[in-house]
Amino acid sequence: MGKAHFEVIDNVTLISDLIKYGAASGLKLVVGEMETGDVRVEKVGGKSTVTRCFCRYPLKFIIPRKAGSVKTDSVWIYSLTYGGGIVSGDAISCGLYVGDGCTTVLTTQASTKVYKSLGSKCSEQLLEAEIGSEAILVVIPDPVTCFSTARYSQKQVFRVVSDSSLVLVDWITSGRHESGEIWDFDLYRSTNNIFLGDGQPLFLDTVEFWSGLKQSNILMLFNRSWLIENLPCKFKIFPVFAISLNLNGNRQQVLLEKGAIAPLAESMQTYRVIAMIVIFGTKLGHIQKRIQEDVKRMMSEQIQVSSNSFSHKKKPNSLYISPDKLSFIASCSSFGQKEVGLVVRIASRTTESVYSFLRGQLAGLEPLIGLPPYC
Amino acid sequence: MADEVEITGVGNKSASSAGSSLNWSQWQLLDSILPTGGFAHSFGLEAAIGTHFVCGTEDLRTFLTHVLENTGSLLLPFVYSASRSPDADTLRELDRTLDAMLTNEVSRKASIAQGSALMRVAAAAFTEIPSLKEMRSHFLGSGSVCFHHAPVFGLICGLLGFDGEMSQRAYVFITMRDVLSAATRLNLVGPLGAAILQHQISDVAEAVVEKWKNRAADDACQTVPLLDVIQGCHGYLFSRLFCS
Repeated sequence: MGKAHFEVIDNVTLISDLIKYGAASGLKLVVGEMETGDVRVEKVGGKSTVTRCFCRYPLKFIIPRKAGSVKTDSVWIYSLTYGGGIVSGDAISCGLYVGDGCTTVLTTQASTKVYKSLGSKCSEQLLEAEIGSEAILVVIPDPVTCFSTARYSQKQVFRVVSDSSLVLVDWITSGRHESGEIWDFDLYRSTNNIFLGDGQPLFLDTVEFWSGLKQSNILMLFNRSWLIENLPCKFKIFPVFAISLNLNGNRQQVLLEKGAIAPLAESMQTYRVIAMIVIFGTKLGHIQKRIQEDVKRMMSEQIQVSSNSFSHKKKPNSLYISPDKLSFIASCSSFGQKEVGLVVRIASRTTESVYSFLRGQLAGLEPLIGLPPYC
Repeated sequence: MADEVEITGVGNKSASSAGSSLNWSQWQLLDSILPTGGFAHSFGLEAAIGTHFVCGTEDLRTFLTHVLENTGSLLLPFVYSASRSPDADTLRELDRTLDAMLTNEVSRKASIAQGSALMRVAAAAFTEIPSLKEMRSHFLGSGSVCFHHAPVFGLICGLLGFDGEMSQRAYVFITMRDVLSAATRLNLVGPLGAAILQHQISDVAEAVVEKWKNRAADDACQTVPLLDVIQGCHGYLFSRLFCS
């Protein structure tokens, strides 16, 4: 396999610039295949089969020979990191291909812990998945927990076709409550993008949390992975190299000198868990419908609106006590043509109530994937 | 000599009158009397009251701060990019991206409603910019653009001649204006209280502009996702004053 190597130059922010520079200065830009993990699932003899599984430190895949009932055709992939967590400066990039008609589940063994950051380094994870025709990908990890001062960025890009199905759960808890860490990390950023085959964006979501501290000089590379998508040629360059070059050579830094105007702990109020569920595909219409009905019923029961209660004539220090804030709130939104997609957003005071919600709402996946999620 | 002075005089006069006419257009764009239907949207405030997030003035101040910060991180990039290149192709591209980024159905529909109304008013009122009317007819015909609010606002600002920073500041201003207007109508605060709060919050609003200005649309993100959850609950309210 070839090695991708290039010099990092000041003020170069585009890979296309690097290619131009490389061509001009006689450097050769060659294919690099230095991702941390790559899995391909294809139909072999009519069954979903792993035809390629590559992983290297710090990533590890565990693929049980048989998960769930014998009757279901599905492949379960457990993804873990050595040491059980993500250490400052880790950069993990992973490719996943789910071939036509295949069913794949990507999950974790335990919550992903992101340890405190050293210096200005940011830990990053990148997943690029491609889902084929009539294929199903179910991504059901445990939540991410960022420890105090951790800096973490993750990006998941899914390329689907019109009859693909995708279930994606992405969630985060506020930290180690026992140690008093409540939304105490420096940075958490999560991007989930879904594109249709022709490149049309269906769902683009990035959530970014900053602590109250001022940040500066945080090196973030995978957030530039959109450059890979825009690459004018067929080469794929993984920024893992860029990290080591950057540390040695000229730093190409994404300067993010911002303090939070709305400190995270304050904007999260008493909520300890933020979760998002995306359900895409006409085959999963029954699950979408059930979630929408259940959430609507649950929320309508809890909500009362009375605009007269909040008369401005009340003195600020009156004995009016506001009702307890709801301990679990959720809302649903459709997206895409003919509402083919559904996104559910949740804020909860406890992790257990979210697990319980996920168990209940995703139980309908069992016939498709062999085991009920989150049990 | 006399001729020279006269010519200079005429030159000065047209330069300052161009500047003044910019003022008139700017004030009109920021005035709540502009019929863009902004009064029908509460930016999630009604849902926040319904879910007991906002119960009084202090909560309102916090809520408003969060809305402004989220506006800065998610929508300012679109205003910025549109004002920098106020043309049809940029509008189509930004509109398409924002449509995929506004994953909350309530805010997505509100954005389209306000953007369409704004485009309609601007095309009718700012007749010195014929491209507005042309773009509007073209896109209405092709159906390829939803007319999301932030890019349309940026486009109009750019075509009127406002610089990028002014356009972005203006967008944060109208967001603040509309939330406070909704708060008054929801009886959360009186008109005088709202005016006082608006002046107090202007420091925060300026900080939001400073922090989130001049970013690319691809970098847009949500910084207060709790707002997304809350605003999505708008449809579950038993009785509603607002559309969103």
